[in-house]
Amino acid sequence: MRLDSYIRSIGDHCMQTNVLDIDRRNMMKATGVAGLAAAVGGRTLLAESEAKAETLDTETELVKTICSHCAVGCGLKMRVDGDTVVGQEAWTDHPINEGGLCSKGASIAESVNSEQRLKDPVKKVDGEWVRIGWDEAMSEIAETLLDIREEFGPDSTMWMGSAKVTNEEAYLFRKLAAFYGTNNVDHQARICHSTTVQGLANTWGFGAMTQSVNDVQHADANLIIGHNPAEAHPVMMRYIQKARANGGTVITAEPRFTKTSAHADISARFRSGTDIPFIYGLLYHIVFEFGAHDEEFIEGRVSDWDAVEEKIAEYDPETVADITGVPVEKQREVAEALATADVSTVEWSMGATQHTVGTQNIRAYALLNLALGHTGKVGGGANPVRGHDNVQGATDMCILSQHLPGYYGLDEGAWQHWTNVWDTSPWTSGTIDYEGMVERFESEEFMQKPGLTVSRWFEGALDDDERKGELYQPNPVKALVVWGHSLNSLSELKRVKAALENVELVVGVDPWPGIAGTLAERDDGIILLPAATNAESEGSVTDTSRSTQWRFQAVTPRHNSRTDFEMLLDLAERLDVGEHFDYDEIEDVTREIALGVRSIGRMGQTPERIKAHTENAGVFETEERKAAVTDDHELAGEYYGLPWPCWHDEHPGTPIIWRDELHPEEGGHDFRTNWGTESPDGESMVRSSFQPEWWDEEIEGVPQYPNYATVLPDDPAQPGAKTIPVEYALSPDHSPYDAARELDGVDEEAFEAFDNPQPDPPTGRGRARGKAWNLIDEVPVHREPVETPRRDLAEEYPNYEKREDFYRLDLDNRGEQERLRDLADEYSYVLTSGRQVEHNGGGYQTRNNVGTANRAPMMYAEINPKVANELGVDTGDWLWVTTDPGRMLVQARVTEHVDASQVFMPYHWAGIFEGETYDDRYPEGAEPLAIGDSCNIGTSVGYDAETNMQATKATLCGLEPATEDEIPELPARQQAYQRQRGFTR
Amino acid sequence: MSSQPPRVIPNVDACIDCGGCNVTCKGEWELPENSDRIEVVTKNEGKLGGRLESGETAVPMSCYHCAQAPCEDVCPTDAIGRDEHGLVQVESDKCIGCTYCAWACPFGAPQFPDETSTTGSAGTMDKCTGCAPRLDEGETPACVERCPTDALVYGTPSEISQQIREKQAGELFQGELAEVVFGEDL
Repeated sequence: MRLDSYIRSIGDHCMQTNVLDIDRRNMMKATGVAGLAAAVGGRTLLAESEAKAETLDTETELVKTICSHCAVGCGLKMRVDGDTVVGQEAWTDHPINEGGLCSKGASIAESVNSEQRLKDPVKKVDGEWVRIGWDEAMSEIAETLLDIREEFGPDSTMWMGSAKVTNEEAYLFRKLAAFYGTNNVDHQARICHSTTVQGLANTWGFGAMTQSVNDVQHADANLIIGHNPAEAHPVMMRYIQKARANGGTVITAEPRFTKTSAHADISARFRSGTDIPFIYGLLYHIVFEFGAHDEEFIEGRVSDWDAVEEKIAEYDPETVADITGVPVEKQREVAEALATADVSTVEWSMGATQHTVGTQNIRAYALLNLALGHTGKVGGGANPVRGHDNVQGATDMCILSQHLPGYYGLDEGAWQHWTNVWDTSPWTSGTIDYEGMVERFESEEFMQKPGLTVSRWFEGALDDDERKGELYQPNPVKALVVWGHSLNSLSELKRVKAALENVELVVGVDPWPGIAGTLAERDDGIILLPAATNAESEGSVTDTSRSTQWRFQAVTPRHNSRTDFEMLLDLAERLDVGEHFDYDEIEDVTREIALGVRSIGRMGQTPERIKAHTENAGVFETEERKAAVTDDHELAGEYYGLPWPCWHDEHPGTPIIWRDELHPEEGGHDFRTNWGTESPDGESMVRSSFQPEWWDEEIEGVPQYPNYATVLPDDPAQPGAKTIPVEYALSPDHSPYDAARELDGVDEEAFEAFDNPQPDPPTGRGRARGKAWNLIDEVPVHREPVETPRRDLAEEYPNYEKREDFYRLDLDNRGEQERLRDLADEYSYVLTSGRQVEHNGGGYQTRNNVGTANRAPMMYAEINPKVANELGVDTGDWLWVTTDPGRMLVQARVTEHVDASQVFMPYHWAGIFEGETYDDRYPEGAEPLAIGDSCNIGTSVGYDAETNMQATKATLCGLEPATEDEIPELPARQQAYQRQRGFTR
Repeated sequence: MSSQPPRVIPNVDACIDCGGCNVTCKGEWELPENSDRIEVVTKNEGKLGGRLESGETAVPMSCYHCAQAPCEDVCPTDAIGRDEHGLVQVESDKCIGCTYCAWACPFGAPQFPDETSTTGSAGTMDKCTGCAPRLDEGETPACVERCPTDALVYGTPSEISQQIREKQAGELFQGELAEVVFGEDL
């Protein structure tokens, strides 16, 4: 260990016995000193310095951009001298982060100038990386894709696209796959929040965060389940801490004691994969013991609550304690905190979503929040916190194999809408109609058939005898385009590798070479294109709070890299669909998105408005993200980034969805009447009438306004102009029946009963569903993970039976569970995976950045000190983590974050494969600073039966110290970093 | 009127060990990669409990520019002194790398980025400068400006009222340590 870090730890020890009780609330109150009063947000006790001029001198300027890592949406400013990034500055009046950045955000400037970047297109020829020109690269890619389509059909190309590109680029990627003729197009959302979207959308109509990250400061209680914001969304902790400072209670619920748990009031730990019984244990207390559920709310706005209560009764606290490992008293403690809260939120991330029952986990959380009547309130709601800088945007653009942009699905109506949009678009010259689109696909059937997913595409590329079950498309996958997507975040990584070695062509697009280029052991058939980083491109991005910001280009693309926008337009041209992609400027794509994505209300997010918000971010306050300006100000009444739904170009955005306490023209909303006005059992699916404060009369439950998502404005060049359904919905003088009569081709009778003129969101005023009758489990039930230490429970709560032709594959969770029934005899630890604060995603950017790689230079397995003693290992020592799918060679990290039955590994690592280094397979000069084995070699082979989400959070593993000769050779710098950090000596 | 300089005091209630301060400082000053002028030390990892009692606590540690800086006292070449703000700074041409300052500092602030072994070849000392150049421009230290959870509080002791010090800095630095950092008369 270095001298100074040794001494630092001694110095710290000197302070160990001191009690610290900083109470900033009282600190602020106690002072009358003007200087202290100027301490906005507690940042400084000196008077705030004068706002710095945006231009430091004649050549250096500050350019606003949004961090490229997680989805909190933090702003920062790049310091630019001429066309070079020379540093970064805090954006102190940004309403989300107020200048604050975690280690990842603080490292952006360095990343732009990273020497490890891919500088030119390269192609693998006879086992060597050869630099080629752009024209050669793009023409070879296009020709190969056209040849493959000719010979095998358009479904033989898998398009894997990105959460890290702008909305415009994401939209174009989806559009390009459509014009290429396939639904085999998918992105990171599949493996992150696909189960969230399915679970929430099937409960109340949309699948996004119900409020903003800022709003959680108002939560009287916050249940943080399967989420570690201290590491995954550090800046969000700002608001979680504010909630505590305001007297709120923060609860973490998950297998580990995490860094977030250290900032919580209650830590409840349950066995990985037992979320549903845990929630039912809480609900049992809330409903049957305390009677604290909100009957009025349920009666008025929820359907089929009886079915939910019946199910809750099956999960009494003792049963729950047995399944989950959470004692009855602890269940009660958590339940009481939620039941006594004025308003509460439940938030989650991958710990909740990445399970075979992910969709049902999320359904359970939503039902909990509904039971308490806390949904759709300030400080109350359900918050799936997204992972990447534009994953919300890319999800809305539906780089998803079962949707067209805006979640329209793939049925005839969806394609009619989108061919109409693409034909009508004044920003492209091409024409297209439904029949013309059918001709581009294998058939009409395949045009409407959900495609392969990011999580299991490889099954489509393996030979028949290696595949698990059937492939339901004419031919296997022959080409893979991996555009801004890491592969080490996919489970079954060994089979991913085999698939990469089997296809004819792999195209990888990234600023740093990803393992799409380096994992496969093959001598040719790989082309890598150098992408510009986010600071070098321009466009809009949507954060986890549904708000959209504009990224301004700081500098032109470095080296010979190109922006995704440029590459997509070029590729479209070479694939002979250029006339549908001949936009004059990127803002025209923003406009086309506003024109077409009407379902979730992106019409009001015009480029002019988005830019105005980003440029004037400083006028938005941090409690509601509302513009704190006088009424005559241009932005008066608007919410930062115009959170969708934003129904037209004067709409302020909807900061809290489902909230009926506001007029819909002022950000109010209601549950979506998504499943018609009557359930299959004949129950009403519109809400009960109510009288809100903002209206003098009763507001009735109403269906969705007819064709609100498909009618285009008379002048398509004004995408944010009100259409009849939007206008009539929001207007106080019109009813749904009026809209039905005004529009052509609408069955008026269906709307006859809804003739009350009142202001509504176009999505109606419906009910949240207690019973989701279209899902396999109508109400959540417990199902043991595919790999479980509890054989007995696997019998009593088996996983899903085999599904055939599910996203073109067979999925047999129950079969795998039976095969692995006795796995616990061999592998006795429960392994889960997650994030570490310094790294993001597959780690291609952060493991190539000195700031972050230096601070986190080690791939590790967290093991409890007792386990470490038994194995005879200490932090930094190498050990094998063995699982059924494969094994990983990593270094130990001894900590009490895990108990003696658990192991945790981060997933950001690559460069070592089952103990063998492969950094020599990287193009020269682009070898990562820090490498490690990939935990997704070993994570379980279960998948969510509703979305194909990979079940990476509940695996069984064994541990074995490595022998000397097995220890891999890490890069010298990485070894130095490890010594610096005290992991090794 | 005391002439004590403003300095960065950790607020351990808020620190989540995100590393923002460490990376910001390195980027701002283009430091060698192994110079951690500010870094977070975590204690009681995995335990729920009160801060600095039994619970997991993350403490951002940098140089506190002590009123009675032990490093200044022990430096044999007077390489360590005060600048016009009263901040403790090292003049590298005078530093002989003896590491006495590192032993004297209760907080481990002195860094030795050129160290090649733990004895004998330490290279010149480097440490937090209190962002003096930014102070000259009327700005706060970069770490303070960019901590996402306000875990770094900044000011001169004379601007802090009696009550605040007792609750905050006075508690973190108790007894002898408080004297070292803030001096006897405050």
